[in-house]
Amino acid sequence: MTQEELGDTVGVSRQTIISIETYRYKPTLELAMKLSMKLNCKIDKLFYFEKD
Amino acid sequence: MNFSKKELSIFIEIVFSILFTIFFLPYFYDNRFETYDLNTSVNKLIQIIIFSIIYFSLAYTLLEIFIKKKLINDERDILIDLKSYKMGYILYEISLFSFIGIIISSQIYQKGKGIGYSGPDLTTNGGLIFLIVLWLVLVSFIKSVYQLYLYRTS
Repeated sequence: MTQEELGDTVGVSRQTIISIETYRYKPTLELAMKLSMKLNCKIDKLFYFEKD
Repeated sequence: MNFSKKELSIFIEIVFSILFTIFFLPYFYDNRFETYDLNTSVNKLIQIIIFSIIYFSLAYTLLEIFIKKKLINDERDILIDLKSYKMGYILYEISLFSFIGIIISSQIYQKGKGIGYSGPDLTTNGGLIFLIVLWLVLVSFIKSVYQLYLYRTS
């Protein structure tokens, strides 16, 4: 699956997917859930929270 | 360097600000000590409107021809728009206070009460129009550049 296809299925642009992948943009919970459902992966495996 | 459709549309706005500065700002600068009459103002306004319509129509048509993909406005776009509009709002606020300061200092100077003022003559509407146009172009340019910067870095 390409970044563009993934973006299209969750309703965001390819640039947004790139920004998430490169840790430049933190998605909202709604988008994170959509991505985890689309990628068939648990949300805590896909994203992690880094304590200061 | 790859630019997305959204980034190119911001680039179109930046180029417009630059073209406006090149083609129209010198006219307002040259007439900063003049008083505009209605005919001159309307003629200039019509020129600017026609130029804007032609420029944006051409630019966006070319953009649509070369990049056919539909523009998606997602949550990242909204966040970047909010940040850049906030920047624009702050700049407008600063401009407003500066504008008031310039008017007051101009008035003091006109009354011969002291401080040396070397800005536009604000006793004519030419000076006021020049200042307003200059600020509008400057703020619009800075806002667009900041928006482009956010798109490239966040």
